[in-house]
Amino acid sequence: MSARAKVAAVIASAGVLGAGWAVGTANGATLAGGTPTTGTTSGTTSTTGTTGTTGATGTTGTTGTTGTSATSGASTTKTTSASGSYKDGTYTGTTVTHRYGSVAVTVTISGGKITNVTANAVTDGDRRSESINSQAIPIMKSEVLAANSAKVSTVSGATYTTTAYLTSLQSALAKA
Amino acid sequence: MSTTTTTSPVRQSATAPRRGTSRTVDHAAALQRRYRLRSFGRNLRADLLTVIAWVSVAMSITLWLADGGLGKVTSLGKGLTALGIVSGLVATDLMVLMLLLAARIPFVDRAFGHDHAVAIHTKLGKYVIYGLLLHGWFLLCGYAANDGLTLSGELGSLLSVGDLVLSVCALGILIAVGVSSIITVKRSLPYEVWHVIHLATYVAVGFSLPHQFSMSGLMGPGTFARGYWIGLFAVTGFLLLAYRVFLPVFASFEHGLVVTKVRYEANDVVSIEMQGRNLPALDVEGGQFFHWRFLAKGLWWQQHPFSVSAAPTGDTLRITIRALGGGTRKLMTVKPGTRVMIEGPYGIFSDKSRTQAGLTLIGIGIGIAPIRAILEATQTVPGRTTVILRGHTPSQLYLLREIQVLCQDKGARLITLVGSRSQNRLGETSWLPASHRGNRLVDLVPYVASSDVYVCGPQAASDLVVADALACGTPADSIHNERFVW
Repeated sequence: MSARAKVAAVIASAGVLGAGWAVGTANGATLAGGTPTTGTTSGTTSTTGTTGTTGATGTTGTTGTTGTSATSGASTTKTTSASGSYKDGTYTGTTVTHRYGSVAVTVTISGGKITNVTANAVTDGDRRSESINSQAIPIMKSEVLAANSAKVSTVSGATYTTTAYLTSLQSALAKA
Repeated sequence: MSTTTTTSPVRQSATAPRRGTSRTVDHAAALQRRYRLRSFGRNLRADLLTVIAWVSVAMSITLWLADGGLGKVTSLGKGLTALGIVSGLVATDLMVLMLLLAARIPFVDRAFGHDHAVAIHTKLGKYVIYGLLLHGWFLLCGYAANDGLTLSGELGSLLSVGDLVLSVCALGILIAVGVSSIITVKRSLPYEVWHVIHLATYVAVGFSLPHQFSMSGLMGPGTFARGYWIGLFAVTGFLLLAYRVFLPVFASFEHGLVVTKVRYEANDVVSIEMQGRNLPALDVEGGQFFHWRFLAKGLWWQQHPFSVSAAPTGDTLRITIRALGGGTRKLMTVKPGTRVMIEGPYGIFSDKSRTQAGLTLIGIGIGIAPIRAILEATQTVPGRTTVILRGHTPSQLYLLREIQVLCQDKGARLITLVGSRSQNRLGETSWLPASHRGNRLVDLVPYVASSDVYVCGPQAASDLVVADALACGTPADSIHNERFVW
C-alpha cells in the first residue's frame, strides 16, 4: 500500500465517518426532542398510547416519563386481589413505558372472568425487542387467562416487557 | 558442476554502426517512457481500489452513526452492544471485500496482480473471524447486561431465535474454513479438499444473512442501510457468478480447446499443445496463466494453474508442466483429442507489469516455462536484456533450445547456471551455484538496478533471488515474482 493510498484512504474514511456522525447527531436531536433524560430515547413511544378508544372509560394513558423502569406510570394501581369479581366490559390499562418501548394492555371481562387480553406493544424500532415481544406476549396472555389475574410471573429474557405488561394489566383490572 | 555462459551472437556482433546504437538508445528511452506511464496508471488504479476498500469500511460504520448509533450508548450494556454491532458491520464489510478479491475481477487482478489480491484476501480472513467473534461476544455481554441476565441465560434466550442459530452455524463454518486454509498452507491438506471446504463459505454467508436483516434494527425494513447492504451483497454475488462461473464456462465453450500434441521435454516434464477457436479474443499475454481442467477420465475433477509456455499463436496455446504431485503426474498421460476447460487468463507476470526498459528474466526449474513465454512476448532492448536459467542439473534447463533461439532473435544474453545452491562467506544461502560463490545478481547483470527482474521458480529459491535483486538496488516495484496461489 503506497503512502499516497494511505493518506487518501485516511482522509476519505474520516470524511465519510464525519458525515455519518453529523447526520446521526442531527437525527438524534430531533428524535430525542430535547429531553436527553437517561434511558432510551423513546421519542416515538409516548405518542402511541391512544388505544383506549375501545375501553369503557376511555382514559388513554400517556406516561411522559421516559426511561424509568416499569414501576412508573402505574400510579393508579390498586391491588386486584379478589379474582373473579370483575365487572364485564373491555378495559384498557395505562400505557407503561419501559426501557425498550411501551405496552398498553386491553382486557376483556365476560361473566366476571378474564376472557381476552390483548397488548399494544411498541418498541423503539429495535428488531430484537420486537422479536422478544412477539415471543413473550403470547406467553403472558395464556398465563393471565389461566390465572384469571395479574398474579403471574414475568417471562425471563423479556423482563422489561412483561413487567410493564403486568403493570398495565393491573391498571386495566383496577377499572373493572 | 558445469556452468555455461552463452552470449548471444547478436550481442557479440553488436559492434554496430553509430546510427544503430543511437536508434537502440531512442528505442530504450521510448520503451522506458511507455512502461513508466503504464505502471503509473496501474499504481493509480491499485491506490484507487485501496481507498474504495477503506471507505467501504468507514461507510459500514457511518451508516450506523447516521442511524443515531452513538446516541443509544447510555450505559455499559448499551456500549457493549454498540461495540458488538460495529464489529459485526466491519467484519461483514471485510467479508464482502474478501469475496470481491476472490472474484478474479479483471480490473482488480490487473491492478494488484492475482497473487497479491489473494494475499490480501487471506490477510482479511483473519480479521473477519476476529471481528465476528467479537461481534458475538460483545452482543452477548451487552444484551445480558441490558436484560440483567447471566451470560448463559442470555445465550439461552438468544438461541431460541431461529435466525440466530443459523448465524452461529455460519460462524462455525467460517472458522472451519479459516482453519482449513491454515492447514493447507502447511501443505497437509490436498487442494481439492481445501477447495470444497472453501466453497462452504457461501453456505456460511447464506446462513448469516437472515439474522442481519431480521434482528438488526439498523438494517430494518425501509431504512437506507438496508438498501445499501442489500445492494452491496447483490453486486458482489453478481460479480462472483459472472467472473467465477458464467464467463469461464462461456469462454471454455466458445474457444473449444482440444489437446493436439503432448511432447516429452525431459524426465517428468511435458509440453501440452492445444488448439481452439478465436484464441486472440482471450487476449492472453506470455507469462499469464489459466486454470486448466482436462476433461478425461480421472482428470476432469481437478483444476491446475499453469502458465502458458509460449506466446499464443493464432489457434494454439501451449503449457509446459512438470509432475510435482499425484494430479500433475496423471496429466503426463493426457491424450490428444482431450477437451479442455479454462479459466483465465490471470496474472500480471507478463509484459503488463513492466516498469523499465532493462529486463532480467530468471527461470528456476519448471519456472523456466513462463519466463520463455514472457521473453517471446515482451519488448526488449538489445544489450539490456538478460535471461538466466537455473537448474540442479543440465537436464532441468527446460526448453533451452527454444530459449537460445529467442535470445538470438531478441539480442538477449543467456546465462545458464547449474548446481546446488551455495553459501556465501557469512553462511547465508545463495540462489547461485557453488561456481558463483560470493557473487550477487549484479555481478551477472551489471544493469540489474535499472531493469525489471522477473523471477519464477520454487518459492524458497525465488525469495532468495528477490532479496538479492533488492540488495542490488532494483526498485521493489520492478521486481516481479508471481506466487502460485489458489
